[in-house]
Amino acid sequence: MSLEPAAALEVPYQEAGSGWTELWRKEDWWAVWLGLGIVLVAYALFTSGSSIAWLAVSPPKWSAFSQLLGHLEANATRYVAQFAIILGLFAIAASLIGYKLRHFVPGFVLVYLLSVLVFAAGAWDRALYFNIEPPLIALVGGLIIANLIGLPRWLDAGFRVEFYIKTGIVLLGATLPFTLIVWAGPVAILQASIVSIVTFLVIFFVGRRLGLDHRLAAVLGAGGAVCGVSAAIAIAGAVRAKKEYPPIAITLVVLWAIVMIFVLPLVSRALALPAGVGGAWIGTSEFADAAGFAAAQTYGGFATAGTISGTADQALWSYTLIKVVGRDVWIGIWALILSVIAVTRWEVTETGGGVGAAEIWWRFPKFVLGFLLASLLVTFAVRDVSFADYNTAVRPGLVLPITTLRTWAFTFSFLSIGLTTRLREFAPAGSKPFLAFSAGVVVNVVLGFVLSVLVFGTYWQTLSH
Amino acid sequence: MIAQLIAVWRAATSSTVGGRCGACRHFANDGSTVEAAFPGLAIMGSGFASVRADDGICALRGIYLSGRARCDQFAPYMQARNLTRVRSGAT
Repeated sequence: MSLEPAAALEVPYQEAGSGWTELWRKEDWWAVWLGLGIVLVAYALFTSGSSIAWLAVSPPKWSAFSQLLGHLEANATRYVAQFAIILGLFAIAASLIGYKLRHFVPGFVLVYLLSVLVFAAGAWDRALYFNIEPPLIALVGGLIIANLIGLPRWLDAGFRVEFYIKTGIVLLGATLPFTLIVWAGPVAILQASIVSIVTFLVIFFVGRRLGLDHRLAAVLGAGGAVCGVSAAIAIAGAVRAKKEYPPIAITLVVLWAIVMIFVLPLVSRALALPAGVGGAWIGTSEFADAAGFAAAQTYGGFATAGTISGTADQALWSYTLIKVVGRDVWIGIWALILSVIAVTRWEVTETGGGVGAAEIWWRFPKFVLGFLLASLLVTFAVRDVSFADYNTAVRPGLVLPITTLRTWAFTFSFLSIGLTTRLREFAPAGSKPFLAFSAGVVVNVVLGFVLSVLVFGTYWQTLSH
Repeated sequence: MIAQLIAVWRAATSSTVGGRCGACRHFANDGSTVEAAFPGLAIMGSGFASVRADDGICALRGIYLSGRARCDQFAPYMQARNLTRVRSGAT
């Protein structure tokens, strides 16, 4: 008896995106479920006259160490409850996504305990004097622990940078008025698109000029132009890159992103840019979402301290509008265009098929849906509330507790960046990819500054409710 | 111009040869496997993110590609089981 042709032996195969399993197997969807779930519970409690404020605890401003200890002692039950609930939610998600739970739990416990320290350091009333901004403490602390002390690699299961930041972004949606997204979204998309296209072309053509393969140049270009590591890995799959290419892009994106976490807020502060303008520049010129949020939150902290004009919200809002709405959501379109070019021009003979318009949906960062839904939900819920009632009831009872939980999620993420960045383990990038990518970084930063400050500066400066 | 674009689109979307990579034993797209293969991916990205769709690594060709791509060196996971089925006369 002869064998059946290979095609007839093919096992059933579920197309990406068409299976419901994505709803509980992908990190993005879990960020939506957790974020929206918290927002809905917060709103339900608020409308019934209660609040999640009891659970959304964090260290208040303190000047003497005894004050901090007193607060932690008096609120120990709240912290334990907060820890248990957050751990429980993340652990359920982690087990269904596919992380090893026995590794995730100890990793998360460490992240939570370190986060308490980061919060406490940021709440010290002398923190501003020493330039201690919580995102920077988290990042530097994590880097020191990972590179000088060292941790077992299996703990990385609890250091889920992207999962925490995506959950935080959905929570951020609940505090960002949907009307603001509608009002500022088109400008954000225009500004981000100009910079993304120019940066991609610069990296791609400089890379080609230096002799890099089409596919490596495209992976580097996307990493610098769209959304960092996420874009690099998405485009690597779309253009069928050699498996050596993504690690090169990852090395360059991560190193430049970490540099920019420090450079962009400090240069913006030196130039006395208003909070909204600085946030817009960071959104245009940072590479990865988590790194950008660390920089934008740091810059917002300068506004809270009165070092720059504007509010902390403005820095985060303008950053989010440009990075998430203006850049992240277009990754599917980039992937579709580049995959068509790749299979028809660059890689005609090796493999075939597999390209379709549905690529746009498959690669869509689904957590953005949660972000938009959360914004729409809360905006709709408070549409008839007067400004006075908003400030006396809605803000303390609903918005501030969600903001506190969001800050916890962001802190988990910033710490995880540091804890997973082992500098000696990066793949060597090579001088040509480094030059091509760095050329894009220069153009990205300069063009981002021109658009954020000189062209749309007034617009971002006045960003408010 | 439009005709050219349509031709390019058809060339890109039409399946050509072999079986789907997602069902091939040379292909691995589990999130943990991809994170292990690409050092640093989890620092500011994730093997479990939506943007990765069903992409994975082909050990045969040494490339990272969509599970929907096709290849003439396709080798199904379940060949042994199917062979048993064929030999037993089942359809």
